[in-house]
Amino acid sequence: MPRMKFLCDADRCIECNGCVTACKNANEVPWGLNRRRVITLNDGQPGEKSISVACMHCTDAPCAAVCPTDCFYTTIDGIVLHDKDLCIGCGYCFFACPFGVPQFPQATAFGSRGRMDKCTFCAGGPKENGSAEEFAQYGANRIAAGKLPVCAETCATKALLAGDGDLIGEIFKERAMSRDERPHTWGWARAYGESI
Amino acid sequence: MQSKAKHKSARRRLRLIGWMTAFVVVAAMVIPLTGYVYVAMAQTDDSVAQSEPAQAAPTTNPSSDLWRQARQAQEGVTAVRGPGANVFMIDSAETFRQVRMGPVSTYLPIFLGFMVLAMVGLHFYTGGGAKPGNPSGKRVPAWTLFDRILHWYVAVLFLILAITGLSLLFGRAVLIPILGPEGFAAWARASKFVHDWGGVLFVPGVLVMAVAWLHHNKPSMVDVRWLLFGGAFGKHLPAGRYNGGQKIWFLVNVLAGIVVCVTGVLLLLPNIFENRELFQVSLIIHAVVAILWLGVSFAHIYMATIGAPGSVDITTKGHVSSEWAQLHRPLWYEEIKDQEFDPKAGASPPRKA
Repeated sequence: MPRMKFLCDADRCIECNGCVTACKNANEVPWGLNRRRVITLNDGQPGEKSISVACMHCTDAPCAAVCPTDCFYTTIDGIVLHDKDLCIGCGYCFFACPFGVPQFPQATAFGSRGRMDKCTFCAGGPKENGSAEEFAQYGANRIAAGKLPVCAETCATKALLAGDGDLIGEIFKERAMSRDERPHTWGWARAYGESI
Repeated sequence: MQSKAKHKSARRRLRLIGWMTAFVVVAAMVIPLTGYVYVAMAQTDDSVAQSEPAQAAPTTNPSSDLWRQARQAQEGVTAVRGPGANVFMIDSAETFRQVRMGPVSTYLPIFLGFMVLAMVGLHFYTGGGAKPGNPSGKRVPAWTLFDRILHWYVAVLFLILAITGLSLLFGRAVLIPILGPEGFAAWARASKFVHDWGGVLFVPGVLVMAVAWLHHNKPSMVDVRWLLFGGAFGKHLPAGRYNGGQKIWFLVNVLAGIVVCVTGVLLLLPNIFENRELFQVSLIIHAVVAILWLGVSFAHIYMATIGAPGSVDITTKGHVSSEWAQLHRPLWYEEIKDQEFDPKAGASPPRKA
């Protein structure tokens, strides 16, 4: 079985935020929330680098470990999804996530959190695949339709890779070797406990 | 004669060879050392210094440096707004997970269980406490209506917050198998709502209590003696209006109350205090101190009900039997025995001065 992972090639990312926009559009992510973000380190200095980050779909996901209602589950493809019907908006997953992924719409005027929203690897949620109900809660289910996440598919410089970990790892390793450097698999050690 | 002269010149040649050998050996050692002189002079010479490389080659790989920055939570620039959005990854998240799912989830339930067992053990050790009853029918006034309302306001909220708080921390392990995921999610959502708003009501209660009862809880040597010589273990030692154990319970309420209320209010306002590290630490402190507080409250609840029969009248009726006061609070009884009254004779508690 494939093990779905994201990998961002910092030498290729040009901080265009195309992935963020494509994600927001395809999943109709609510106002104020972003399932993906691009971080630029050393911005404006020689050697600045950008990295696109979303849910890494960790092997031993900390969000799932701390969730009081146990609303997270991992699909057969290794994608970490959650059931919004069980989410109570406590925010513990946000405290436990090393990548700051979980997002919360503001539920009341007093600032209490609504139900958590995060990247689904474009795999929808626990509702029936491709249903209107699933789309309203979780956004697109491209995986069920045999497609890859829209962020990586959109990426103009092919910096953001999504797919089976072994496959994208091979592609990235080849790139790194042609550039005569070590492959830096951003976040992989934390998320999956291993590099390529 | 000739042989003598010959002998002399041979000796001179030998001496010459000796001196020359010595000179060569010394020169061979000294001349190379002049290199130091050359280097020392070259270093003061600007033209030579400038001909050297301007800067050393980097000692670390620049791409490794960048990865190190990302891993060590260096702040970058991002178009997305949100707490910590400009940071790639933080270590404190994993620490939070390890602490919450490790010691907090392991030792705190053990502590609560220990406190329950300790109360059961105490009950059997002391034989359930003396039961003075009220044969004389006489009573002494203890608490005003304000004291009683304040006590039950804080106490009821404390228990509600404890039940809802424990549901959020241990419900996944204990309640999901009973209620099912959907059933527990509904309970957890209600718990969160009640815990959030109950906390808002709880904070002023704790504050008023801390101020209103402070003057009753000044420690004295009587309390120290009461504590040291086993007042908590069934011995009836001299005590004033409140004994040493009760004064400690008051202190626990004030200190734990401050910590739990401050961290709780902070956690209620995620959009004001936008700092993940602060929230991680607050949540752990909130849970640990609140559960320790709850464990100590078991002792209070036991002592005020079955541990010292008759005590509960103070918080319900506001007055207590004279026998109870003489047994448990001899010093206080001496102070107020002139206010003694007999409800059977139609008397009502005298108005408090």
